[in-house]
Amino acid sequence: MNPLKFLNKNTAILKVFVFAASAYPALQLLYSYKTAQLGINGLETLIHTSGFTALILFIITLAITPLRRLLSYAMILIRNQYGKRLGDWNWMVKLRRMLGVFSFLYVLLHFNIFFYFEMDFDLSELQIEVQERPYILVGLSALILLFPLFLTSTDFSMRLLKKYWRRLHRLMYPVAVLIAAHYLWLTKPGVYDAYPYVLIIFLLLIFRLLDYLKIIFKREDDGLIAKR
Amino acid sequence: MIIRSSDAFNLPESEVTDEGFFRKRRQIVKAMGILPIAGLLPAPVEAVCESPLLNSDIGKANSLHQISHYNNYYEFSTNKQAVALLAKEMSLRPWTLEISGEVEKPEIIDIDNLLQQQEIVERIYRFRCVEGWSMVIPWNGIQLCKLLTRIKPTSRAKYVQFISHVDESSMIGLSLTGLDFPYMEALRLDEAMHPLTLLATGLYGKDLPAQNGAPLRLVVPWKYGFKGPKSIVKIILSEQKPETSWNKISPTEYGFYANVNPRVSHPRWSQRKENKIGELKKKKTLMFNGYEQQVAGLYRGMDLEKNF
Repeated sequence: MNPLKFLNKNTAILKVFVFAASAYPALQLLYSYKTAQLGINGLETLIHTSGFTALILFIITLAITPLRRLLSYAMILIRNQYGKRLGDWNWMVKLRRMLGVFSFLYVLLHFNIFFYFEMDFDLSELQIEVQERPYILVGLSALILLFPLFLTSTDFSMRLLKKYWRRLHRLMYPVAVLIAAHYLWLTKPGVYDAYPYVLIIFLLLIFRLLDYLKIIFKREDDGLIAKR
Repeated sequence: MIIRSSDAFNLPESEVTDEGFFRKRRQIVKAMGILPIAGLLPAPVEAVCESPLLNSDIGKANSLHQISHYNNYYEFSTNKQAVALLAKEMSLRPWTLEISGEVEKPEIIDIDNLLQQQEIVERIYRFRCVEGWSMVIPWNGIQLCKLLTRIKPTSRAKYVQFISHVDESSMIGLSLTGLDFPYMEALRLDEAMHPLTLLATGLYGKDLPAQNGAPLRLVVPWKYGFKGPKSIVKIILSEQKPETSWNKISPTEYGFYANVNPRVSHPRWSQRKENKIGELKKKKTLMFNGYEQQVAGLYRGMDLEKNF
């Protein structure tokens, strides 16, 4: 069978793999924590690993729609039989919710590690931190904006909210900007670690803007951007 | 390689200071007895290097592995754990230290001669990085005051600048960051003469590892770590305040003084707390990194929130 067709018909297997891969960094971190193998600066490992995993999962979530469209165009270009239709890539879309939910859970973990190990769950400490360091305010805003998206990630919410569900989930775009700003702001001068990821986020947002302005991709609405 | 147990250094620091130190001090006092003859000459700095008051409640020393595998050394890499490997490529001999500028006896000293001539003391100091982490480090080194007394600063000398080594062949990070090299740092002369200020030459009684700034590295325990340049090749005394590397790149973040101060916040890192390497939870940072009693006098009358 065509491998793409196989994926489309057996998304459940794919979901198991993606679930395992998404859960792995957290389990690895938990294991290292329990066995005191977090490295020389353990707190830094906890914070960076949780934050970085959240970032990667967020980027993948945001990349699925444009990627699906790009791939279908690529298949037309190389005259491949299967894969010309957007529907041939639907298995990617079916993974998106799980990736998005995992991304949120890592953001939540990231925040809680910071809140516990750095300020012992002391709200007044957090208040000072937010006032003094804009990147913490920005990160916290991303967490707060993602929370309603997490809560409405069920089929039931989609049916209940109808067109408002899509409108609500456009919050992904401002959250993307906040996440990029958070990473850029926290790196010190002379260190360029954040740049590749910020560039990818920028491109993913530009993609949606161009589509919205109908500059590229004249195809029918395929969910690249929430239009309804 | 035999690594001595850190327990041996878990003593209060005051017990580590040996008697020889005090005997040497008397010799210097005796030698300075001839000073009244030169009484008409300007005496810009105290002629005698005092022995410092050392803290006893300093905490457990970090292991040699922790100290030598978590290093900020941008000339090699901005990855703190990659530096140990990369710095092995740097050649440490021959090495000369040039002392010049506003001094009566400028010198170019071979490092091995310097190590033989000067008394090497052991000092267990707290180390606080501006990034919010800290360690307790058993250094060996030369009290900077003794070296400066030997080369005699002139009456115009007000600042001491330190310039680090640049080795194009081994330092693969030289062009990868926004910092200009050679790395430069500076102290006010009275800060440099303070008995706590050390030119480190070793760790745990052994030679300083390259990644920690071998063969000669400045240690100023009441200031953030970036005030301690590594692998020093030049010391220049001057009347004007010299340029310093991090201050040049971002003056609002990195002040000239860079005294550890939990009340002066940094845009990226909380300075109220610190993450002692080896402990997961943060703890409170102390004013002047716990050396307030010894150094607060240097800054009397200064607004430390403006002069950060």
